[in-house]
Amino acid sequence: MSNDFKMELRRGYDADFVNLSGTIDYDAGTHLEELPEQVNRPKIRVDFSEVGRINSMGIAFLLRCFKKLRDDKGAEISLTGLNSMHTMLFKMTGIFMLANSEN
Amino acid sequence: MNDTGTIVALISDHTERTVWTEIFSRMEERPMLVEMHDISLVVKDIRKRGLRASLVIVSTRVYPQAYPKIVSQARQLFPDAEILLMGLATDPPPPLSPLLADNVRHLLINPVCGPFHDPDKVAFSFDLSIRRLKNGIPLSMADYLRPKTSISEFNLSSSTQKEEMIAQLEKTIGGYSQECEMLRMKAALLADEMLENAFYAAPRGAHSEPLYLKGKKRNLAEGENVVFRYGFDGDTLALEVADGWGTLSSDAFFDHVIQNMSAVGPHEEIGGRGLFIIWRFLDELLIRINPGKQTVIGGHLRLSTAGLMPEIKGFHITTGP
Repeated sequence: MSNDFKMELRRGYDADFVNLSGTIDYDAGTHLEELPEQVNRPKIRVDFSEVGRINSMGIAFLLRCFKKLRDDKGAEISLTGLNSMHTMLFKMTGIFMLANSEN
Repeated sequence: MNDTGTIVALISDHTERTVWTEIFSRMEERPMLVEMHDISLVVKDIRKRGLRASLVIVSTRVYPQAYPKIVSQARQLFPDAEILLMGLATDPPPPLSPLLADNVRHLLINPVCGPFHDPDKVAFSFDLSIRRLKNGIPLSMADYLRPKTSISEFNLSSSTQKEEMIAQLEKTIGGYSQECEMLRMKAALLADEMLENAFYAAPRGAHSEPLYLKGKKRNLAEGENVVFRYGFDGDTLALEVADGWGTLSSDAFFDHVIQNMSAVGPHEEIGGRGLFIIWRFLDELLIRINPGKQTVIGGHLRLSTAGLMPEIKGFHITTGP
């Protein structure tokens, strides 16, 4: 698994699918800040199965991104492919208050 | 008169006595367990015999909620004694604001976790902390490793070395079990946060403003240092990062942790999230602050409990040269 952060967006019939990969830290910021402008379906599924480490900066960017998606776009966000570390972190930091886990 | 100093442990009742007796009976330094309903008798006896306490241990079932003034009363009775709070991971976590106000800087948590419960390991950790606190010697990460465990030490010169350090640390853990994988992931995150803290949060200007922007590559200035150390003895991983600034204060640590713990709902701009993550992912956090000179942030975590995440963890914060 490469450490470099990557984000891919695929459009579905009633949902947008976002695949994240690599480390989510400061370098992921620009991508995650742009994501809310790029999605336009009422449902968003974000796949974390190729994501490695997520640090506190990464958490801040995810929170900001998911908040915009939920509040500005009214989107329903679901998360897939979370490992146990992601789950622990998301519980601690309030991410699950913005997005549901489908694991 | 007993000059070596007694260790008094204040607990709520007989039920709690059973839990702590299991741990304390395995230790070299055995505290005198006092149930709160006996406290006035015990205090009278202590006064009569002229006993001096070098350490007062207080259970989280006693303080801060049931007897909020007990720490200040203990300090009046034993002015030289250090205060250590102890609790069970299965109990509701105590509120931390009173600890900040009462200057309680040491907390030990007994994990009491079903199949992972290892009373000998818990007793070792408690015994070590109690002996050190009684004698006023700060704890260091290496204390938690088996004797002769090798410690790797790296003097960093640039923030770009972070990934290389993390990769080395991950390699040291080895193994293919789920626990090994979990420990590796926790270790990588801890090292990441500790190094980010040393490179970007520790350097502060005259008005405590951060000097460097996170995410921007930076080389250390002349005379500045960041040292990364770790060791793994097959079960316990200990790691720490030292910076040459000494700008963290114990009050700031408490403020960050309290803010992050009490945040209801998602707050993207909350401060000190890195420190909060470090505390929650370690089994025990050790912070040594030499104001204006050095801060060492570290601690330890075990392979056998790597999959667990109780709501509260222990910490020791020491300030001084």
